[in-house]
Amino acid sequence: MLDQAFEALKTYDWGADRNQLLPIEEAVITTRDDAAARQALEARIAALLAADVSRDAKDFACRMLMIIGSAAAVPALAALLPEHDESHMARYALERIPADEAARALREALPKASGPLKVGIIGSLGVRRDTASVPALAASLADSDAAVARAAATALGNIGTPEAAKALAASRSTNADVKLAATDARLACADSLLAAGKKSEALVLYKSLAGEDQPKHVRLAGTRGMLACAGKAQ
Amino acid sequence: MHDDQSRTQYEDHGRIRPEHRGPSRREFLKTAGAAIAVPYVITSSALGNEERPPASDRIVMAGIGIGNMGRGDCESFLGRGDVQYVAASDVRKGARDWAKARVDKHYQNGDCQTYNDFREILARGDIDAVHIATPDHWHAIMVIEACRQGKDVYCQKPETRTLREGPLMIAAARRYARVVSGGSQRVLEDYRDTVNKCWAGELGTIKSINVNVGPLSQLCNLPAEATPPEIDWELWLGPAPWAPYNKARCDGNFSTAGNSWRSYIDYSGGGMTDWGAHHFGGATFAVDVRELQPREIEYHDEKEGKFLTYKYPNGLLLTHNRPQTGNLQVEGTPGEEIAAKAVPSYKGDGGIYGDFIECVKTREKPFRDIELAVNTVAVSHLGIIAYELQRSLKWDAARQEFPGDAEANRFLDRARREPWVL
Amino acid sequence: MMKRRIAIALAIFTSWACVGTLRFPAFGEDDAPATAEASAEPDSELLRMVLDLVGDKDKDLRALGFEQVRTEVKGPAATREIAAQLRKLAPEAQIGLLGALADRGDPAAMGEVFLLLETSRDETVRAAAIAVIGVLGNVAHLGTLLQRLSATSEAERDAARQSLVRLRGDDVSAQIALCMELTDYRAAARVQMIEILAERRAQGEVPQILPKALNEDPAVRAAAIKALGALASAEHLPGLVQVVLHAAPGADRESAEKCVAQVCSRVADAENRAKPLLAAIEVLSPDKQVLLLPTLGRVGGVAALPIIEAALTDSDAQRREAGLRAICNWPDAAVAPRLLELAQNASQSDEARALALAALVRVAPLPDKRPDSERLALVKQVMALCTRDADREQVIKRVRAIRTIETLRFLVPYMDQPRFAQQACESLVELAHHRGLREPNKEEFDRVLDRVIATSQDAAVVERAGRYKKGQTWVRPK
Repeated sequence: MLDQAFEALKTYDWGADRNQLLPIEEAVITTRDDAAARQALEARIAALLAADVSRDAKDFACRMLMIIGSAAAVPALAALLPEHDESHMARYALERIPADEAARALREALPKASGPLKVGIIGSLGVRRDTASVPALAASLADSDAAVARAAATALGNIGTPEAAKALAASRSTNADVKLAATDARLACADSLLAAGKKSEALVLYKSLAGEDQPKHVRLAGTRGMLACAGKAQ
Repeated sequence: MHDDQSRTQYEDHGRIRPEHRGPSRREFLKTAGAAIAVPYVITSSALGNEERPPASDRIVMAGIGIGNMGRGDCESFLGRGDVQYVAASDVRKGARDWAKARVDKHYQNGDCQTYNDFREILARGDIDAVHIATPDHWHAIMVIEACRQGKDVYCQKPETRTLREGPLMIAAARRYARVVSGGSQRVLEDYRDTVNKCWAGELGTIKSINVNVGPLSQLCNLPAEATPPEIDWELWLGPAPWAPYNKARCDGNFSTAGNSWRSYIDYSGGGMTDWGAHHFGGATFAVDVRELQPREIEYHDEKEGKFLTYKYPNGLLLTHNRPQTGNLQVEGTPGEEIAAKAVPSYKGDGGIYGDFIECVKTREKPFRDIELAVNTVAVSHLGIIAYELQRSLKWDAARQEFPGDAEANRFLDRARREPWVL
Repeated sequence: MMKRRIAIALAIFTSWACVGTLRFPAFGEDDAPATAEASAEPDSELLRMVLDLVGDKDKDLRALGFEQVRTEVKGPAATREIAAQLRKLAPEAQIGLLGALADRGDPAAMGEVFLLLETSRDETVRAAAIAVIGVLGNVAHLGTLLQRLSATSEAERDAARQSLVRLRGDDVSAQIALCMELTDYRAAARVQMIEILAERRAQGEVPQILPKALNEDPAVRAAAIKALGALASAEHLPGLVQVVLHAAPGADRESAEKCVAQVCSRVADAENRAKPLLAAIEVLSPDKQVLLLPTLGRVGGVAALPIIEAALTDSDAQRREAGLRAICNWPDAAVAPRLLELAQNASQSDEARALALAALVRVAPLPDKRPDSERLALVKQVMALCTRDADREQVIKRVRAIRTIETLRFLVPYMDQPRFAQQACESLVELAHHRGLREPNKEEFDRVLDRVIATSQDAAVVERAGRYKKGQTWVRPK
């Protein structure tokens, strides 16, 4: 059954009977306690990514690797990151694979990417809260592509470390969308810092956003943060 | 702005054109009295209606996603004297045209603005609040962006598509002190008898409640069809994986049997989230655990069928599809007398819509505050993951993770298609 | 103990009666929880910020302050400082702060809340203050709340009633029940107190409510019977059968009988629900037992059946009639064969046959352990027995409870008969309402719904049919 399902993937495309692939979906779950079987299954699925199969078949493979992918599948997935049609589904797996190799692959792809694909990779690094990518994300804050800078700000907000906050404070973008994202990210960093017990660092951030020069809802956010700091025991 | 001019191409999705940022509502209203030119959004007829609150006291609203649910929401807000409905956004021209015709007819003018790209509505400084009724995979991005732009939000259920989205939506609402209401009117209205009995103490200490709902959504592999010119397909898909257009993939009907987006995993959790938002919402409200999330999900695969038992920190059990058990069937403690509690309800007048508008005015939390809505849909998501993995799970609600369970933690979220970032 | 209770009740009454000279309850040791946290000094910086915010003219900033009041700046000293702001605020802000103080849950705010209640000229503010008393108060505040039950402002009256339902304390229900006995209360006030006790689930006060079910005032009686239906248990059945016997035949008797049935329905052993009622009836004289047979029928169950059967064949006409009413009151379809027999028995009077048929129309479609096919077969059999259009219409109406495609097929032909078409359309959309039935039979439903749209003269039915065809939901108006 499994062999037949893999055979079906060779010609699988939009409109094909999805039930043909059910044995693979079942194997992804049932090999949980059989390391060798799962490793073999992972390798077989990863091999599809370099094969001459449809975008739909690769889409399916990435969905399966999201569940069982390990460091072993990362090279095959990383190879798709620069591809317009497949970059997202490669991230679909890489973003969720806990192995450090997955984060490294995303970081290494960043300098070579541009436009929407770069936005996507930045987004995935942010979701992973990848502290090692902070310098690269800090640099991306100044990217001439506002969508990239905006994504970098959001990613730094997700990471939320003092280094991320520092990078955001240095942002000088005049683009309204980037400023909006950077403000939100600074508030997110302040929340993270306060939760981590770094009250004075958080307070500085909140105060800087509570002034009359900010839109009202941002002032409210800053004030709310200051209240949280005042209520937090040292 | 003419509708066609508002149409944005996919390449523009990362940016919002600055010319669409309107004046702030307060700024506008300051000058509206003296203005002799045609007002930007609030019309002279709107300002002069003596039966309604003055324009400066009305909540200026817009709608995002004007399909089956969006139209109902639009009608409900439009019917309120304390709301001025000024704009609508949808990626389908037919939906935009419907909204414009409906709103303009209501106000007897031609002022309703329509947009293909929701970000143009969120960037308008004159809008106080939006209602969102897009497919579920868009909710988190839109709600969070709305909060960042200072808008209050009424968002249809199910409010989230993944577990990670919930806390981010709550954080955005709290951070900017926004009123964000979920959209299930059934939580309060459909199960009143059960709710009243439980809260009145009639059933004694509640031990368990059952919910029957389903099915789970599935992967979609429908064939490609020619994309109609009336839909911006890239923007319909948004953060979901790319797939070719097919009418059944994006149809907004309420079925979960394969001929609607509610059937498919990239856009919905199927009946488990769609009706689950109502039933789990009603159940957790009835037994008063709506402020909690379960700490354990026990998976049963027995002769009578597969079912779940959610265990809450206070000891309450919530079962899903338990064999031979009715929907919202409660097991209490017969003969035990416990004190009655006041049943929470809507504020203001006009059901869940009135509750939202009242809270926009008073800045209180609405009945279906986003945190409570997120807790409900989390029940659905946790159940889906247990069924997918065919095993029991432990859940750390404070950390929002499956402790020590790397396999399950992969299901907390899914990567968004560029250029959408959360 | 009872003397003390009465003394408290009298004190409450006195405070109620002294309108205009109401004393504020003393706030001191009783209100301040003696915990370490409670005695802690408030965080001065946070408190200062919160005080500024709750007094701000901007409602968004005030809301931030209220959020802090709800959960932060701990301790009664802070509570008093915050509550002291009440007198400085505009009404809108006062209402917001009152709500926040209620959520904070610290009775140390009560002094300021009472001051506001007595001095505010705004009825919405007074109502909000009354609502806070319901959350933070105790039995000592009963007098104030009872007094406000007859306030001229509807908002205050509603708030007082809600607060009396919410007010915490072991003695509260007992004190309300005692206040009910005080002679100066009008019947309307007693009705409210009974309703409040019912909402409080004051099961301990059933002995005090029972006599009210025999009260000369019909409103008091009705309220008491309704409350007893919700609160009483099997042990109170001897008292409740007296209520049935006391009630005049007609609507009063019927509501008393339903009250007894409601109480028996809470007996855990479904088959033996009649047993405690039988025990209460057995000690009565034979003529009273006869009067209680229809009540016994409403309870049903195997223990009651032989008694009803015996009555049905008794030589005494009065007893036979009571037996007939009893079996026609049966709560489920267990007696359907007997009802069929009665409905078809030519030796029975026309009235008796009509009663049995009406009972069959009621019980035949009721959901129970019978298979759907069996329920529908019985409905069809009942329909065949009907000789009056009004009965047939009832069958068409009630059959919707059997949610099968066969029910749809049973109903469809009635759309062709003008006398029944409208009712058939309504029942058909009720069937279509159920997605689990509609979706697997979509084609057949769509065809039928098209006919409903063409036939029905009820705009709501037509709208529903259209929505179901499109797979849309419909929310039943409350």
